[in-house]
Amino acid sequence: MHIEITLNGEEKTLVVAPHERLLRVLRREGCYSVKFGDEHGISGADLILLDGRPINAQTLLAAQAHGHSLTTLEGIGSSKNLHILQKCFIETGAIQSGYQTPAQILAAYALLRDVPAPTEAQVRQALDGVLDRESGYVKVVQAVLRAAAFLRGETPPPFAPLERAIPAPPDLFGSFFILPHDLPPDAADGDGATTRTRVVPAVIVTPQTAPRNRVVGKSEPKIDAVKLAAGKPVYADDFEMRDMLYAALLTSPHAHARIKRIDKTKALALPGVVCVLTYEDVPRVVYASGGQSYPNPPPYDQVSLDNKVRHVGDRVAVVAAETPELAQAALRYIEVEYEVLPPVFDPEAAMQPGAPVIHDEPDAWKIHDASRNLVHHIAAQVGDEAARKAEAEHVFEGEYRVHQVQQTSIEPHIVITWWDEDDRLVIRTSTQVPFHVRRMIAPLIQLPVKRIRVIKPRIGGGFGGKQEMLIEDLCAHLTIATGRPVRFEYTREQEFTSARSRHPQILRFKTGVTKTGKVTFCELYMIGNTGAYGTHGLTVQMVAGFRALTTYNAPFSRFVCDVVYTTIPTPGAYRGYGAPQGLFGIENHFEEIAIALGLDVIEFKRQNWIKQGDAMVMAVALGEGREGHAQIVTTSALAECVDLGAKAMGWYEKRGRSRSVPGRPHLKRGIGMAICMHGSGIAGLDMGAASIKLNDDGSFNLLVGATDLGTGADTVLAQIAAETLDVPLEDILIYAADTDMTPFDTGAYASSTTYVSGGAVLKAAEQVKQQMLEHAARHMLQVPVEQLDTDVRRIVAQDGRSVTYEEVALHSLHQVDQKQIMSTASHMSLESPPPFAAQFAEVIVDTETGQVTVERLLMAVDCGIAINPITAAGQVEGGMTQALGYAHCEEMTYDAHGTPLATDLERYHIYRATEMPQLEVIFVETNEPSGPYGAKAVAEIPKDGVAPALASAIYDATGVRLRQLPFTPERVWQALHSTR
Amino acid sequence: MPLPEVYQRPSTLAAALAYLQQPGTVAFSGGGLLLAGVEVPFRQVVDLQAIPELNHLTPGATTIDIGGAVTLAALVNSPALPALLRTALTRTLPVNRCSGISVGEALSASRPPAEWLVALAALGAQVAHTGFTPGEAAPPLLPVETFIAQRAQHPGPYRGIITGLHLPRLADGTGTGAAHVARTPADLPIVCAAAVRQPPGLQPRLKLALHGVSPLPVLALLLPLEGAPDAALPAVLEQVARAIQPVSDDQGSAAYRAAMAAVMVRRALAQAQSAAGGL
Repeated sequence: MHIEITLNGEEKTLVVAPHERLLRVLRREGCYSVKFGDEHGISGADLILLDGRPINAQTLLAAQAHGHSLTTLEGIGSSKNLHILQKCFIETGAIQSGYQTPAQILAAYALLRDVPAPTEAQVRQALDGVLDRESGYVKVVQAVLRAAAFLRGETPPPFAPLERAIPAPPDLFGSFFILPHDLPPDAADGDGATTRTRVVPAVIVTPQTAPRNRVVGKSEPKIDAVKLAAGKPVYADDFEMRDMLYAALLTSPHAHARIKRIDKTKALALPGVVCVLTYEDVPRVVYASGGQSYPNPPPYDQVSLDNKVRHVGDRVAVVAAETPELAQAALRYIEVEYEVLPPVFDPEAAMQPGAPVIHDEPDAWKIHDASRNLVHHIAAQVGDEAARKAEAEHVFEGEYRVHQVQQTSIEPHIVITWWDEDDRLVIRTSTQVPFHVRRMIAPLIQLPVKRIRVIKPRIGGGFGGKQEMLIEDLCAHLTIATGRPVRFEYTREQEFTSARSRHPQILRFKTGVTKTGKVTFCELYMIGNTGAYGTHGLTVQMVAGFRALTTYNAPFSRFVCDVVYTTIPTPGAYRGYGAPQGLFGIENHFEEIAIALGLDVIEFKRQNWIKQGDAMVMAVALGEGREGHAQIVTTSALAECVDLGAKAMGWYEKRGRSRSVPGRPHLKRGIGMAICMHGSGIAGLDMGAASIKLNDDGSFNLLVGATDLGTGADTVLAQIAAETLDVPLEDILIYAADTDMTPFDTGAYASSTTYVSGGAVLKAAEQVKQQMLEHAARHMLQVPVEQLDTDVRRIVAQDGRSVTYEEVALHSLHQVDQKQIMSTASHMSLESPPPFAAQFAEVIVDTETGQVTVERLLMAVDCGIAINPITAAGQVEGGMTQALGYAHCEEMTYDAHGTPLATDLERYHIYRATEMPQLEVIFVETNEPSGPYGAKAVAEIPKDGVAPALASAIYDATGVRLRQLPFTPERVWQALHSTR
Repeated sequence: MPLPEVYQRPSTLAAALAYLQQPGTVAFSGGGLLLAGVEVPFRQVVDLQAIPELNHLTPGATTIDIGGAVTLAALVNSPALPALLRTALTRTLPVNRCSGISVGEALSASRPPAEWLVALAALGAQVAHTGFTPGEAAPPLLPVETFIAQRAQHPGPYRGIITGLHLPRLADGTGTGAAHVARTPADLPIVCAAAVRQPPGLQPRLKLALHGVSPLPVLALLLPLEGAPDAALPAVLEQVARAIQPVSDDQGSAAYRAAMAAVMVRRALAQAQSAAGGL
């Protein structure tokens, strides 16, 4: 059928199918800014304007648009002619992955057309229909308010985010004096009163020993921000190929069953269905799907397609068809006869004799005890048990339970595979681990690594969910079977049923304390529920134990853990990687101990937390899946973070005071805190490499295998290169994560990119700089190289003569001793210096309903030197928001048959713009000697402290202790009633 | 095949009803709920957006008449409507979703927007529709809660057309109130309630509606209200306790829902009394 529309001001007649969604048609017309986030329009990634009104393109038939005017981001501005909203989004650091940016800008555009001077509440209301899993909405709101001021004709002062602007006085470390609220109004963000938001800007307290840099430490706009703000086609799906097929996955309706018969005849008979693959069609090769270093930690308990299913949503068959709709339709024509087996969902029950055996296949490798569903049994201890237990005058025990949540990146898992002109398989995939994918997929599809190329385009969020070789093998199998390009994208429901999630755990602590409050021993027994498959099951639990026990570093520490199979969808890597679970347990437990002993909570923790110079007692015993390396804390501003945060929050004025909302005695206020400790990469394991080459004009290509998920990692790495090479950031042209074109990197996980990959960039840049200096010394300036230095795009001799980088490049490439000035460097560290943080929270608890409203979150963070403060602040704000969902509302729940109940973004609630608490970030910098320019990590630590800080605040408000997540109204209400 | 093969956009209600006689046909406007999902199991879809009598919002002397194809966004933006109704939409439904969902679609959905439904029931709204099956004689106007109860008797997609929603004008001095409990400020309600209290001078009565405390999406009660409000509260709560049939699910146990019903009713009633001038 034909439809007539006006698209971005241009009248068009289009041919569409009656069933086609408007989203698909718009993308076919080149409007790649319109994204798919979910089938229900709840993510808002598909937001467009229809006759000026914001509406979701995914839930409209294209035919409905006939006769209407449509506007997408492409109709508002372009990379060469950015709208002021786009400029402000770039300037304020509002863009992370950029996947939701076009929708956010359109929503704001519609608002500002009708309401030129909006309040912050109106801006948040306008943005409410576009879920942001990354930013915490802070900078997005700031961007819209600032753009509004420009559009009104005002001239707000230049946006000037703090750039390490508050140097530390000599006595700072030990005596803090400056707080965010001490700042003069508007001084920090440079905005006028009309563009204020309730967001307090990040404060950076810098040690005086930190070096002054030109590029590092500056809030440079993300180097990919313009193309993201313009909605250019940069993601895996923004790509067209002739004759492309579309894949769909048939999944199990049963939690545990054996496939007795599977018949694909009827599906294959449908016109347009090209291929159906079942376990009968693909090689049976066991593997572990976690995107981890070689050799992958065991067990190897998966195959691409099996004759047994182990959770609702497990793989059964995969289809390739001429259209996505046909592929979906074909699924119902695949006849499957199941022998339904008893499921088991409770990990404690799964370990009992007689429980259903989930992995009874003979070829599974390295399962600790398959007959008891025990994947791993971990036991590690350090210290003199008898002596330390003898010293303890009080022994405390506590049990804490954490639940299963989903990463919920707004861009689902998506991959496109095809044969290239050399008959090599190309995999364009939204992954955090392109090099691991290439190595891991090779045996499954029975191709050598050299015949596989993996390309990572821009990614619309990952959070660990894409640290997995999750769907690439199925798509590759289809391309191999059909010879045609195949596109495979998970549905939103499959993200919940068939992707990965955070491990649920039971944590039981036993801790001995002297009468003066000194912890002498700490034991943790943990049960980790790894669901149907063991991917990441070993390492997540080890990290959980390591983080929990190392935070207070008791002289005798013991960790015992059982990792257990159950028939729930498989957990895996999720930002924080065990630390949020472990820290929820230990922080709750230690607060309970302090209160039981009548000690001040902060002082009790201060007495016991790990300090600068301390060796981490469990570092060797608990590596990640293997023995670790000895670690000493070389830098820590934890005490300063706690003190500064406590002062900013008014901790000592509020904590322990019974406070109700005036006139509403059932509403109780509370304040809570927790400390956090994380890592910077995996010591002795993570490796990143970088190549840098000099171009004719003095610019540099920087090639890295590191994977920017939207975190700003590419920008940070470019800043490190620019600083070292002494050029502006614009002279660094970064290309990342293509297994054919860039050097190796383990990938984006474990908070490793800045510290590990950044270390590689630093080395490569130093080597290139040295090559330039040597060429100039020998062939151009004829002086000893030691007498040369650089000064912004120039090499300068002590006698004042100089040559530009461009001159050096042209000379070395074309004139004398010709060679390509370039270098490749790798970096691996035997250290993983921990970032530290103090997390504070304020809540209101409705004692009649149990509903908790979070008013304020503040995190004071020591991430070493923040290479780019504005992107670092975005990481903390977004991480706290995700952590808030973890603590408060997000939960994967199941019915009695193991069918997930929350499989859309309405039931699985993600915090929206209108309901956010006040978010504040304070950076307390240290100068980490092992990190590039003093940097440690910042990406994951914001996930660690919110849950225990909320538990602490709820206790302060009500006197009840919650030992199980999340803090739903009924759970709080039940706790309140059980104490009455 | 679970995909529409034919799209129709009639300009009259009669034409739309004629299409509905054909097998495998569904009528809709908006699409934000009907089309939310991977499959749309109809051969033919009938888009109601071009039918004038379904696209009006007319404030009258005694009622406000709203066509079934009017979007929820239009309700949010209409100052003629009670604030109770508009705020019931904006807390959980963002503007882009409101733009894509029509009144008829929302009422006939398997999961109608709960607080809006509760507000409609408390306000005494009535639904005009063409019946639950094609060819059925149009039934009389139905109270919202009755329509929802009958809709539950016809599982699967709604096969009629909701032609209108009729909202009684509130008399001066009428008090309205609402309350909810949810995990977060913008989350779906676990339990919610709305109360509309007649002003002085009329027969004292209270219309209550609740969600989350019965197998149906909405439970409505019309109660006489005698004596001082505070004194009447225990009797109201007693009648509510008798009427509810909460069901446990992953969001809340039956016991919790029952307890919350009392809290929500008390709060909604207090708000209604306060709005009505402390009746």
